Amino acid sequence: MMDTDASFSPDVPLVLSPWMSVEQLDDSAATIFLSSDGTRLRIPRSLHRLLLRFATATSPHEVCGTSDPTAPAMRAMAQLAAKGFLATPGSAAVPPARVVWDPPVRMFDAPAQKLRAAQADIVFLGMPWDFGSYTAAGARRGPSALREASLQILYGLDRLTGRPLGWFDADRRCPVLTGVSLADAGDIVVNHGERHAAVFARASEVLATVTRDGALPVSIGGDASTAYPVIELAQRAGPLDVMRIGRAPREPRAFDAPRLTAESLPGHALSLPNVERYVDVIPAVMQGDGIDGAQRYVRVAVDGAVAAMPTSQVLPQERRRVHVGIDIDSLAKASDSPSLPSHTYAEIHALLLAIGRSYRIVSVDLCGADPGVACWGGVAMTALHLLLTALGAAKDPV
Amino acid sequence: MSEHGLFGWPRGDATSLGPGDVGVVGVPSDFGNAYVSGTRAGPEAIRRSSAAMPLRDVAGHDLGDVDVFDGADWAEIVERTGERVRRIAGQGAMPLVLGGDHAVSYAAVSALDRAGTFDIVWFDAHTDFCPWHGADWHNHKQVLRRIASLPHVGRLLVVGHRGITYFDESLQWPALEVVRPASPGHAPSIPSSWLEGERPVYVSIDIDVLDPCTAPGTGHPVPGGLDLDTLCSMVRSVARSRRIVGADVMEVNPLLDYEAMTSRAAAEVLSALVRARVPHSLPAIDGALA
Repeated sequence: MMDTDASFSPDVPLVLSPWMSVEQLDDSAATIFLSSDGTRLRIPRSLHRLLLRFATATSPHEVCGTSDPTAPAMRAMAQLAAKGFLATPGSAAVPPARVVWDPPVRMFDAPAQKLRAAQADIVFLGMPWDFGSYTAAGARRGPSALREASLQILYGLDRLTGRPLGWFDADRRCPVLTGVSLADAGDIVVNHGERHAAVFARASEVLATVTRDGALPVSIGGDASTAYPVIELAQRAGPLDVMRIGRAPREPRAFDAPRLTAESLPGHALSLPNVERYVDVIPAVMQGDGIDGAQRYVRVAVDGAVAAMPTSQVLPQERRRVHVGIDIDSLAKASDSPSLPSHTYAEIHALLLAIGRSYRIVSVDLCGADPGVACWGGVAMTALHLLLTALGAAKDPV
Repeated sequence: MSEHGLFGWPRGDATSLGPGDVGVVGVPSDFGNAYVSGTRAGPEAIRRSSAAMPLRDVAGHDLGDVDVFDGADWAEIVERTGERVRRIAGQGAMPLVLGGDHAVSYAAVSALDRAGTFDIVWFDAHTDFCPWHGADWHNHKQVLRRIASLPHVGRLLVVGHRGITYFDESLQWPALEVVRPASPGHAPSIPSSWLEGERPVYVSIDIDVLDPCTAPGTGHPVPGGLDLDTLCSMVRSVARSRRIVGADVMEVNPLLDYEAMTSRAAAEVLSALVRARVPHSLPAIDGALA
């Protein structure tokens, strides 16, 4: 479904996609736009004139005056067909649903990722969905707001080699993510009144497409339920532990809820065939359940448990695969009431590095970002620092 | 504008100041920050918060704010600020500048060019040492690099630098020394070599040196910062051991603040500084302007 290639043969008729429009036209060039997936191309005016001849079903042979597949015009038509500007007659009558929105800014200003297998090492996908928790109202704007905040710490490339420059962790005095490439696939489309299952199925499909060549997926929520698609994807490749840093209440009954919500996420994740263990890491002042290697679900208070996460018996060369989630709403901020248990930056920073040393981080989610909360600027920068720390722990653990 | 000045000090002009006094000038400019505005309201917010902590044991006058919003470009803001700072120093008083974004500090430091060579103690989450490509731009990201190039500036100490940056910012200038926490959340300490010597210091405090949980009202917060007690303690130790030629507090953004936490923190750290400082008369460095 994600591949837009029309079958191309010089003698098989094609027709203009009904989703194509011209955004700009002058004597020398045209900018054409495909609203079904957001593709924009600037093409020579002469090629645009040829393209318009497909207003009715016509073979490329007729339009280009040759059947030679190496002829420049024929190669251009093949490329336009591959990008979806030309379609097989009849097929284009079914509107291809738009599955992601291109954000106005991208995470850390990394390149945009189209709907195909990413060549980048890490790919972000926004999940602007906050129906999974009553208290998460506003978190649907989290992905966009985090992208905007991330422009304070830009992704950079070596101007000669294209090698990602990464960043420098001034606290640890070491480079982070040097040589690791990033891309942003945009936000999952959420249509008004659409069913939950349809949105999450779309997210799963997009994640599977963009990570097909091995990119590490990062889901940006949204409420905590938005972590489900990326966890589901990660467990497809083999046994998986889930570690989510948040403020999970002791509500085991919620796990059995038939519908996916922020509260029932552990139960739904544990029902997946390859999820072996689910650890909720809660603030130090909350009462954890202790570490019991036999339990599939456990709540662990962050204090003192960092080095004793339930993998101590696992040899380093057998590092287990883990999904790491961070619920931004649980991070300490200036507007917190003194009685609210929260995670400190220092604790989570240390925890993420410890997880990276003990586990192989294969996917990440960052959720609970609500730009409407007081002190959002500090919250956003804390979240972005922790996201880069988690990705560094995944890609260059030390 | 409030009737009383910072810490309840009277409003006045430079002629009100005596040797060893503190002369306050506000610079409500966020011209040097292209990302977020709001520090223009910083001086007034700090004054408002300071009303609850009057300083009757320290002599000071508040000279009000520099005019900024009459279409002035940054060069004029620097010149106007510099003129006020020179007038204060000309009375033998200590200039205390309320920002504004951190680019404003350049105006104060450059205006003290007749005070002899002095060092800079720069409390900040960032080193503010971005490349400066020429005379056309002036902003809060490269302000310390510009200050470092002033001939009357000696050594520079950045305290509180942390977080994710583009590269190792501590290696950018021979005279630049950067102290940082041993790990996030652990306070650094002022090197002992900075707590001795005859050469005066200028103290600049970017409020983002504090943790965002303590000072949320600032445009470029970085997690893992100092708590207020630690900052006040560090400022006191500098002020007790070195002669302060001038000081400022910058980057307080009331539009991003929560219950005035940040402006109150700014007032508290300034209070710690002026009370710990050994009052002294600055040399008559610019009598013609007095």
